[in-house]
Amino acid sequence: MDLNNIQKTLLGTIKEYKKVYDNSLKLAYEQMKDLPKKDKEKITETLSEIKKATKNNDVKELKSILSKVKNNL
Amino acid sequence: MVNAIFKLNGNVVNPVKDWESIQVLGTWSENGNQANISLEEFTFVNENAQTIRQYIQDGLTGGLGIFEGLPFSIELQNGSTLDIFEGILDLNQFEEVSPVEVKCKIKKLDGLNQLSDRASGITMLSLFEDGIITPSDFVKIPYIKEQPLKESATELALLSVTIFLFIKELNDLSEDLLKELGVNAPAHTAGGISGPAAGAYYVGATIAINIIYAALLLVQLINLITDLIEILFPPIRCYMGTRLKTLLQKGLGYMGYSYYTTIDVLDNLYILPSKNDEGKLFIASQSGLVGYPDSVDYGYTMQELITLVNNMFEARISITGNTVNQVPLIDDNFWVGQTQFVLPDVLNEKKLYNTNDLVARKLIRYETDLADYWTIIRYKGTGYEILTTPQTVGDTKRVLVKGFNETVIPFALGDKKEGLNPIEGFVKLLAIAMDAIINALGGNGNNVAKITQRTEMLHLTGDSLTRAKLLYLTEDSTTGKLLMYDNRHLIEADTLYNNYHVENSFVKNNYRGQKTIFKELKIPFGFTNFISLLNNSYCTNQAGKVIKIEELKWSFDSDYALVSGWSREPYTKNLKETTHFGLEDQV
Repeated sequence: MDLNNIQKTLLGTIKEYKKVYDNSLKLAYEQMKDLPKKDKEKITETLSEIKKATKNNDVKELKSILSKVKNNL
Repeated sequence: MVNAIFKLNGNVVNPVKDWESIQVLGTWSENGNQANISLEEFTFVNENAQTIRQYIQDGLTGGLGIFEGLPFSIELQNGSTLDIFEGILDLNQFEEVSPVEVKCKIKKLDGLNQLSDRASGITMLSLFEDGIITPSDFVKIPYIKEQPLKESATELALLSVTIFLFIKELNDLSEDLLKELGVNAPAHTAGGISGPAAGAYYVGATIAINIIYAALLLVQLINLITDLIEILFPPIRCYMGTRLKTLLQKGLGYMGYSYYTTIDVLDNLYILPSKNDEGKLFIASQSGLVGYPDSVDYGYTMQELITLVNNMFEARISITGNTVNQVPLIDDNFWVGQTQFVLPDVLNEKKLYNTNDLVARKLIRYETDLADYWTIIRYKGTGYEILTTPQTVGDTKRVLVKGFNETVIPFALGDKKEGLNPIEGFVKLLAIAMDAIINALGGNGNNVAKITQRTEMLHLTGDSLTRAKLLYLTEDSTTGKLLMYDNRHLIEADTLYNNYHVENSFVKNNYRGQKTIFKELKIPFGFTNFISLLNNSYCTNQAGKVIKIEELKWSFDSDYALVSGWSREPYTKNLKETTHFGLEDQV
């Protein structure tokens, strides 16, 4: 077993996932620009909840936000 | 004329039969520097015999009986009163010759013999059950189970499996997540609300779902890696132990003494008793667990603890009032500084040398423990051998240096976890990356500390200890954990030799171990001299040279005594010492 390879892969995965998350956030703010104020506020609030749950590594809370969003569709 | 007053149980009684001619033998044994006084049997007659017999008989009717010595004292009156003996009748050595005559030996109260006898019968368990040693005296000694690097193949195999499961879990999670996220956009557009409002809302929901997807992936990854760290790292566990000095202080306190020592190392020296199972998690409650030496360990009795310190530090005991002093013989400030008696200047043409004290090979060693391979892998300091040989040899067949002396310390040393092993190094990098991400998300990642804080503490290869350990531990000011740091050398065998056992070296410290001996030197002697020598066997001659008395023979009615002893005096410089660390030389 080559520890260096495993290490490289795992570190790469972590970086990649972080990048996906950062890009998603960036994209979200860009897409929100054209939305009506009321919708913008609502999404901003949801984003803030998502960021808080992410900070706390709270999978349960993230899933709960997800089902709330889905139910409102 | 000297008048002797005898007291039995505090009451003045008739003098014992033929007391004047009874010989006093004072010896200074290996375990102490204070005289052990032996007297021949005293013969008590008439009322005295009756008092003693009655005392023994009272054991049948609620009295103290034969197993508690009857107080006995002798005072000398010669203008002023001098207490020359304060002790007890040793009823274990009692003989009833007739109803009016009994024989019995006496024992000095607070004497070394008495201390030793009592200390042999006091166990750690009895001190604990009597509430002398309490749970607050026990300390948590943290340790990590760690295999030697050479044997970490198992851990590497475990790592492979864990990483495989980790990647599989990550894939499964992504798939599940995608299924869970599934938003049927076409269906929604066709059948749900329509118009600009629905479009805007749908865009908003899609944005949120995208981020939740990314966030869930990231958070699950972080949690998985956290689990991975937990799996790869055996948790910090702890065993309960006790500070050696606390046991000595408490035990001697129970016996009515305070404890004094000049051995600084004792402030940080802990006994980790043998254990038959893995320790509890460090963070868990340790209530109900004990940390005193068990009956299978050396140090279970007070006498063993005292002997342990004497052997480790080449120390001896003296008793001053209610204080037991335990001080290394190398400490001249303590021992020689207290001399009171000055040896009279008498003609002595006889001279002997302590050549029998020189041993060609000395070994000071701790034990190893096969339940903890670190005691073998890190052997250095466990054993130290000192060979004393002539510097110049004329004919090897004529060399007279001989003999072997071994000082065994029946404990194993502990070894500290130094740095990180390859797997920990691997995980540390992951932890650094993890912490960076967690912190970037606004959290407080502290995984690196979990790894780096694992160093400096005791590590063991197994889940049990078949040999109690002696550990020099210092409290970490941040975590409060008792850690080893780099202090093991303070109690390693070579340090013990160089700092304490060098007392007996025939080479070092200006040939300190070389002595000239005198035997049965007849000197003028009286009661006051006897008292001076009782508490310290060191004295000086008229020229101020330090002399150690080892044996004294004297009787109460005699104005002279026969003393035997020695003084330091080099008589050869044709010796050298070479030293070895044992197993270390084999690789």
